[in-house]
Amino acid sequence: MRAAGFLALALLLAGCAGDASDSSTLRLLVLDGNLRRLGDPCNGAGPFRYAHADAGYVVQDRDGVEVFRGELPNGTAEKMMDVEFREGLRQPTMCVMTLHVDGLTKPDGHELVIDRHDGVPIEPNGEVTVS
Amino acid sequence: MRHALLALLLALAGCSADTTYVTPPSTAPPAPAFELELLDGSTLDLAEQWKTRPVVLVFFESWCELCARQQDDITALSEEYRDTVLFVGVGQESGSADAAEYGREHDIDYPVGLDPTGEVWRRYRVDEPPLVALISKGGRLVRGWPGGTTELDEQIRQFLVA
Repeated sequence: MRAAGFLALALLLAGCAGDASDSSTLRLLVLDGNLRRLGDPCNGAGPFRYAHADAGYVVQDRDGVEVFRGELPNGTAEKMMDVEFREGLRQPTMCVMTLHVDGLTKPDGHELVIDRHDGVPIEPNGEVTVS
Repeated sequence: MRHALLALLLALAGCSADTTYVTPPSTAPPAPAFELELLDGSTLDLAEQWKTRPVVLVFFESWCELCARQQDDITALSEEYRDTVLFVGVGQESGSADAAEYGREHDIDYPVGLDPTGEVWRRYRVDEPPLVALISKGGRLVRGWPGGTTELDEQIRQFLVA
């Protein structure tokens, strides 16, 4: 009985550990250069307006097989240029969205498809750059 | 009866005298005219509207968090200026159901429509919502704020209604 209990516990823990490592966090960088205040919520601007919160996306492998499907969240405006602007002033930024992708252990070799636009390669460090 | 009519005329004169519209700067360009299909299916001719009163255009999308953060203040101002300034919401890619839901969430009581082709957004150079544009009585584009503004009340008093 005790052995069976340990076995169940071990399997449970193994399952949990497997779930935890079986996901990746991607950073979607939308290099739109739009003027924003750093830290403001954002979506893609100008020609990148298709990259917005609630827009559907798919992560697929190099053969085009879907690995994960989700919706983009709102992003946050981050510094785009190595130039110091006065604090609080709107400045050229990129809109960065954080995507939690289940079922993806190694993002390298995969690509991100946003709302049926062309796929964008995912870098080994989990970054995806739209520009 | 004559006294009653006179009193009514004076009252009406008093109402109009209370509102002084600000003359736009001579450098202010004409606002791009357009018709907007509203969520209720009717059509709003903006050029007709700004012949008689100033207009505040509020470009938004239902998913836009920055829009939502500013919306309650805009809604309150639209109530405050209900008799003198027309507020109009203009979405683009939002679906009509989502735009209507956004309106309900933020108690928006002013006309809201969609610009599905993006033509109006292009003409007003909206790269990303929110964008708020002030149009004077007579149709001059006097101010526009990409990213919205926290000083809309002051700006309305400075540029639209004294």
